[in-house]
Amino acid sequence: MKKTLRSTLDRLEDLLSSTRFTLFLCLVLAGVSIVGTLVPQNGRPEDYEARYGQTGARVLEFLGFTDLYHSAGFILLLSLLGLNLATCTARRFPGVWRSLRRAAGADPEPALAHWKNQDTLELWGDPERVDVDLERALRRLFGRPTVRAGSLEAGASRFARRFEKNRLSRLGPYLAHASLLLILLGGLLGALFGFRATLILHEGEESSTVWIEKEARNLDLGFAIRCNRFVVETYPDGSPKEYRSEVTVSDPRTGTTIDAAIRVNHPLSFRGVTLYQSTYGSSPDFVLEVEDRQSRERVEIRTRLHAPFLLPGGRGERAIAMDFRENLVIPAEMMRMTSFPREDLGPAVRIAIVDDRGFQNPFWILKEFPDWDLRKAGPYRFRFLDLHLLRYTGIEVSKDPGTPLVWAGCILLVLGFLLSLLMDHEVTWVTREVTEKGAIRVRIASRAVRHPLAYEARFAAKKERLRKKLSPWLEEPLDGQSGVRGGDGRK
Amino acid sequence: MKESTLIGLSILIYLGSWVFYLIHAIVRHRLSGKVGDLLALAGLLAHTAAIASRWIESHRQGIGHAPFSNLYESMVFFSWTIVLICLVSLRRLQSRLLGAVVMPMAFLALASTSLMDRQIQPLVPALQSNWLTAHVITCFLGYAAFAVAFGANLLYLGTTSRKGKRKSGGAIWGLMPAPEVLDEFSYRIIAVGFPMLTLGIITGAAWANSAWGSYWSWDPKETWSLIVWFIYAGYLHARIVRGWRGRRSVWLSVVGFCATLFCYLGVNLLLSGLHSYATG
Repeated sequence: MKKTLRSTLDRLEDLLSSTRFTLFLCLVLAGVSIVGTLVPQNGRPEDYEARYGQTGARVLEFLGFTDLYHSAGFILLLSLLGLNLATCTARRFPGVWRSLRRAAGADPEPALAHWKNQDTLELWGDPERVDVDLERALRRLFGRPTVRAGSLEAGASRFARRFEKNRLSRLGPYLAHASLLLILLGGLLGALFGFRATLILHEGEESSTVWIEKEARNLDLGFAIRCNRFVVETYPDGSPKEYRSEVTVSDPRTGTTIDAAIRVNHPLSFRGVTLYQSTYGSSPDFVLEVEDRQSRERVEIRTRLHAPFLLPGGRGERAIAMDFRENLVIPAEMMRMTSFPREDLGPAVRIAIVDDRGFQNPFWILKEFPDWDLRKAGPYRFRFLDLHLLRYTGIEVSKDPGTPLVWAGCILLVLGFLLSLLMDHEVTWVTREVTEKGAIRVRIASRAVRHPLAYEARFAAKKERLRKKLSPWLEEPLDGQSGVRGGDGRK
Repeated sequence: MKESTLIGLSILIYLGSWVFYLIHAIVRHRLSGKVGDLLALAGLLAHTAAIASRWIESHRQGIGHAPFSNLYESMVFFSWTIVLICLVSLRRLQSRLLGAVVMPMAFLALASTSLMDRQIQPLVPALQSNWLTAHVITCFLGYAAFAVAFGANLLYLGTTSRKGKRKSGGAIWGLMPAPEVLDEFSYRIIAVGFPMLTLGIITGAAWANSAWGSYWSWDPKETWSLIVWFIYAGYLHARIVRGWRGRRSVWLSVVGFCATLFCYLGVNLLLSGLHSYATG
């Protein structure tokens, strides 16, 4: 029983750390993500019903497709990818690290016997000078010597060396994968410990709390933001040039007060919280007169939409402005039934009395027809005295402790790609020996670890460059004479 | 010269270059291949001049900005990057047949701009960012690399049989690089395009973070770029660690390019989102 459990666990680990699973996850994530771009995300339930029907909307909701990227299934896929990245790295990295640390064997023969890219040169001339040039050329083309077998001292007839180039590129894939994990971690941190909220501030208004939609609670920022002015600047053709909120941020604990402008693409950071220009608009501010018919008590009230206010008469009753139209229009077919001189009635606000059963008998009052009041028989008489349109700015308030990790991950990711995709670890064995005729014979075998096919063309170019660099020593001197002969003197 | 004249000229030259590459491919005429190269290069110069002249013109109008801000400008730049990467690849691949499949893409992309609104518009606040240029350049270098890889995929699929062997007959095949070379070539160019796409996504995220206060918000454009990223990440893993070669990997790369095209055009035309030229 234990044995089967262990073997199941082993198999599970094999699956999780397999590259086949990586491939599977990449393609499944791509496929699933498509769904979320076709079904509108985070819409209102009634919109889904209108679009997909009641059953369709319920199925989508059940499958989590209405908020796909935050659904349990999608997060599970991302977690599996993270797990896969981590286990793959943990499994393969130590081996690569060891092979990079370990000295390679000192035997060049297997390389010379089997590697595809080979070259042989015969050099003639003073061995000391030839060796200096040879060493320099080899280092230029094939990198750093990492293994030396035999010495280069004069008189030693044979030595072998291993040159390596772009050794670090072997670490590239691990760097890239580790940085992806870092990015996922940053995202997780942001989701757990960050917040986002939209703060609506009218000109002149101040707030130190924001409403977190996701958690349905007010959050105290610990400092206050006041919107002094909201400005829209336009180009001559009328298209928007700049949205700017001029704000004052003040921290009551330290007494710091900062005046700043928040513009699109130019957020303001204050005590770890970032403020972005997000939206704007205007909302009405009404001046109403309410009279209690019984006591003849009359009050003037300044109020906004959805803000309950106390009614006169001392009964503690409240009313609310439910709705507002800049211009209330009577439908043409209704015109005959009314006594209005025109269809456009101008600014109108819809009032309801609030009691414990909810909003009672809402009715419109009109600014341009102050004496028109359908509720003449009711206990109150409303008049719509004045209207101000107040501009507001919508400031996105967010805190995301994960972003430094995400940016660090992004930089390392690019570095990892550079190492792994655009560079290759090249290994070259070189032997040098003196032939019977007195020439220095150099044999080269070279390979690239990751992209051997692409390396073939590069090696051919390297061969040519090597010959160019060593050209003074390539000609066999006649009858032991030193010096260089031009042309095709070699037999 | 005016921008519109230069663009018209480039369209014609690209068409010419394509025709000469085709002649080269069909009748194996060496010289016409070279003419194709020269025309592509000349077209690229005219094209570059057109982009520069638009840039200068925007400054003259007092609304100066890099010409990367709407669908027209992005399509002009897309075509430019395709030709650039095609010319670089032709040197690498040593076969001008690639020109015969890639130049028509550049030609079509550029010709399609004649249907678009080419008015120079001032930058709306969201586009006024230093990230704009970096974002557009990296994204389109990535897209163009995938387009050129797609060209090589077409050559591969057109000339090799199901078993990965060279189809027999036909004059074109004689000039064709070996199937393995084409396969490897498209892999190499995707290995360059993929980091570019990644940089494009990262610069886009950095930009979104400064404009909207969130580096990732699952907007359709963002999501599709991630879909493309996942497909090519899958492709690279399939090749590097799973040893995929030939048809299987070629088809995956074709799927990747289709997703790329949808990410660039389909999202704007069919889906709605935050991206500026979604409505343009």
